[in-house]
Amino acid sequence: MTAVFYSQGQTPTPEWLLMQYAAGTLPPYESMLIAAYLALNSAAKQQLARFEAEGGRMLEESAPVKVTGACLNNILAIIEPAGVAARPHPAVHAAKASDCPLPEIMRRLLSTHCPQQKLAWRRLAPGIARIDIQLCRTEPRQRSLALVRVDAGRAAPSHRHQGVEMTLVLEGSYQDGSRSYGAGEMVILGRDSVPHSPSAGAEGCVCMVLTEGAVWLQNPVLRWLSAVMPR
Amino acid sequence: MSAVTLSAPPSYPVGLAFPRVSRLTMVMTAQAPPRPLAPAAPVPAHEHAALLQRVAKTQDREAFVSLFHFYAPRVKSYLMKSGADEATAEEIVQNTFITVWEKAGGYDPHKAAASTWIFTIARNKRIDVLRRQKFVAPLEEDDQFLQNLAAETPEDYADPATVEQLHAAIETLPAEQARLLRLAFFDDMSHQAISTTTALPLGTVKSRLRLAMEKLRQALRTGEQR
Repeated sequence: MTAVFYSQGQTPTPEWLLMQYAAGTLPPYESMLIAAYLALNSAAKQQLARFEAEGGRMLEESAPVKVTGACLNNILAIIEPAGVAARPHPAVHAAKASDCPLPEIMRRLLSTHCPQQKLAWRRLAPGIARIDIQLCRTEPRQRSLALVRVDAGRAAPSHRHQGVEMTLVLEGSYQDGSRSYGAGEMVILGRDSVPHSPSAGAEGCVCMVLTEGAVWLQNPVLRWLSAVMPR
Repeated sequence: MSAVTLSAPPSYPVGLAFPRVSRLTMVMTAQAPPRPLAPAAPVPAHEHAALLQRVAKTQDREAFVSLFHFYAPRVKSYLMKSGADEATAEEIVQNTFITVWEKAGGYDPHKAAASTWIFTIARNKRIDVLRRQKFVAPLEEDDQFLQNLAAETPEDYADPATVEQLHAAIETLPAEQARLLRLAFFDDMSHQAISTTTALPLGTVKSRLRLAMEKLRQALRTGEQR
């Protein structure tokens, strides 16, 4: 349906995703990721606005296609002279009363866009928990969107990915190799990337992670055991 | 954000309003859309913002109809290029302009061109329809899924100077790369479909798109550092 770059062997960039978001062609999982990215990152908002302006210009330059007279007549019959706010805006779902600790942006996005979502952290290992986001039944298998919480000082077990992994930091920070990533930063790793073992910063870390394909633990037993031990 | 006066508003000088006819013509030729119509009495693009404000302030139906005459055929063109059939395109046009009427009060000419504002509304209406057609989402009708992920009307706008910068960057791309970029995004074509339409090998389409994105990325990064 859309030109999903990475399914064809490429690694997308945040700009690429923003451009697709602006054009209205980004699939649901990525849209959720980008919606949170935009809420947390003002530079990304600016970039999106530039792409949208390009869309507006494209619109101005389009060769017009005849619209039937009925179309305008229908509209004129519907719009009220009073105009502004004539139609009530569909109610936004009230955030589910829940004692589940969640970043505010995710509480807002999930309650609006998938109110049926179960909000409960599932413990994977000491200090590591996950919520799988159930957005859309038609997502291909082997793709997952999840919130991942890693407590301060803990690390994900060393692993590598078959496909692309996109990570948006929602709260706190994490360290991967020599770099540290903070709230509002998005990291996109290409397929067949080298094994890594990101660890949470001093305040812990909550991320939204879109993963394609399998995730392979390096030496599963040993790596897992070492990873769940406090550092 | 630099201030922009009403008389010379949106995001670019009027003289540059239609700089890329030839490239667009290429796209249109490749797509073979229905026969284009010449607009009867075109309103210059720089007056669109003022028309929108008249709609907002005095519910001016005449101004609204002028906007409709300019934009409805172009929104329809965009929708049909993106794969909508004629009936669906008209339905989305209708929903778009009802929203234009209702939300005109939220339009700020200092922040975005009228065309940008209308584009984002049309895009969101299109997403809404696509969602109903394509996704069997476990959501109720009123959940507004993607439509709301991209808000009903844009809350944040680009600085007109940086809009120019991006536009300039696209302008400096080789014509072929810019064309492929438009096919990929605004016409929502898969790489395979682009390959078929343009008679370019799939590998060439991918590598040119990759090149184009890399150049744009550099341009955007430069923009952030200013």
